[in-house]
Amino acid sequence: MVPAGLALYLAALDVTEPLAQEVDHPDLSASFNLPTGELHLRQLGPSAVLMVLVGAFGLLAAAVATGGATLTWELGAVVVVPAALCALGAGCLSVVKGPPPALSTQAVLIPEVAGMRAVGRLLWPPIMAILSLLPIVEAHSALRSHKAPVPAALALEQLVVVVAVGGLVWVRYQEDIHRWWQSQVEEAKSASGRGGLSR
Amino acid sequence: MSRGGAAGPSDNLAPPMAAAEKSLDVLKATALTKAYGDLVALEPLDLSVPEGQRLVLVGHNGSGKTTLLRIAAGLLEPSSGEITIVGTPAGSLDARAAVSYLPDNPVLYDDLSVMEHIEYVCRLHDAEDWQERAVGLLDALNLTERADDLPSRFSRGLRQKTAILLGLIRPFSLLLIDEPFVGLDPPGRAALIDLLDDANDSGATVIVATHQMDFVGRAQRCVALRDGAVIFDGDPGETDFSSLAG
Repeated sequence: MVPAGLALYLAALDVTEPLAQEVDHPDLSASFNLPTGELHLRQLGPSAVLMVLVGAFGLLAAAVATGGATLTWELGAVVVVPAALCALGAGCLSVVKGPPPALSTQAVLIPEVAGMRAVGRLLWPPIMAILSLLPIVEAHSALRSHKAPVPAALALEQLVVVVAVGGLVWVRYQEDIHRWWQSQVEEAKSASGRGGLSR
Repeated sequence: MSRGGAAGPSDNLAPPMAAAEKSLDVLKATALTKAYGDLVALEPLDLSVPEGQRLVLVGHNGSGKTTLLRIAAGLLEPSSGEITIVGTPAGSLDARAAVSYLPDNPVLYDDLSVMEHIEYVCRLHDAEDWQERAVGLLDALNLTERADDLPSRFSRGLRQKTAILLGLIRPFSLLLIDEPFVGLDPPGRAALIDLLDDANDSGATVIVATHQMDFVGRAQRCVALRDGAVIFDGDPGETDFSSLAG
């Protein structure tokens, strides 16, 4: 699952190139009269179609390997689209988030904590892509326990769908969330400054 | 907003105006400041630019011209004070719809051709009749032959022309343009001046930051900055700007 998840992640990075171009040109994005998050989300339609095609190729390869077993097709029908979208979300996360800003609240963290955060920022997207294939592991496990594999995969698939949708919602609203968070930090700073003066 | 100017070929090149209320300052800055750490880029600055005015910003390098334009375009947060575009805060969606900003360094996508850039920008702005106007602007800027080429492979001057084209083809009420003559050959400079005249004639407010003294004389108003402070604001004919422009 790990190589397959990493392959999906690499494919996602490739198909999100239009989004990457937009992220690399913030001055252009900021000149359009629509929220940057919406512009980013609009870039993802063709990317999503491409990712589903990549997943379909994976399913085709699995079908060839298993001699066209019915279970492969059934499992593929359940897994391919959510896994493709989840991997796309992982690619978007990686592209949009980029490196940590040079001057941020992180700058005042101790190096160990800042390092852990940077590693987490780097590793979370590929982990997300790998996790999108977990329903296949669950189906395999169910099969070994003589249980129905597809319902087992479906149960876990709901989590994958939530993560995939969460990733896309984050792309749309991350700028607003970031702005809100910054305003809260500024407000807290100024409030503590006022408190300090009153003492 | 009315579209003035005589009917003629240039009419096709004039941008459709973004919605703006009448009798309103298109740009209004109040006690605007900007500091980068200890460096003060803009002293408290008050500036009102009425609709349809052609204003030129002059000043030495580092005088605050680009900072002012970037704040007006919503690309930079002021340290204090406020700035509105057609009555809405700079950077808001309404302000973005009204402002076309051309930075001094052309910003273009790596793998879109000139024509694809035009289509992308126009569709995102819901621009009307853009194909027709694109033909006119490509011709005016002598880019027709290069319409299908990638600007990433262009020289500085051609990239500048492409950026100018993109800035002019979208709808706007306020054109902010930073050092537009850099890298342009004399015919390109003349074409740009004509296009700025067209934009202004059609009712747009035009603010140009430049060191180009022959353009200063064509403006209705000149604002000179030094170390982030306004040191002159008035008719360009009233003083000698060669010492102010750097």
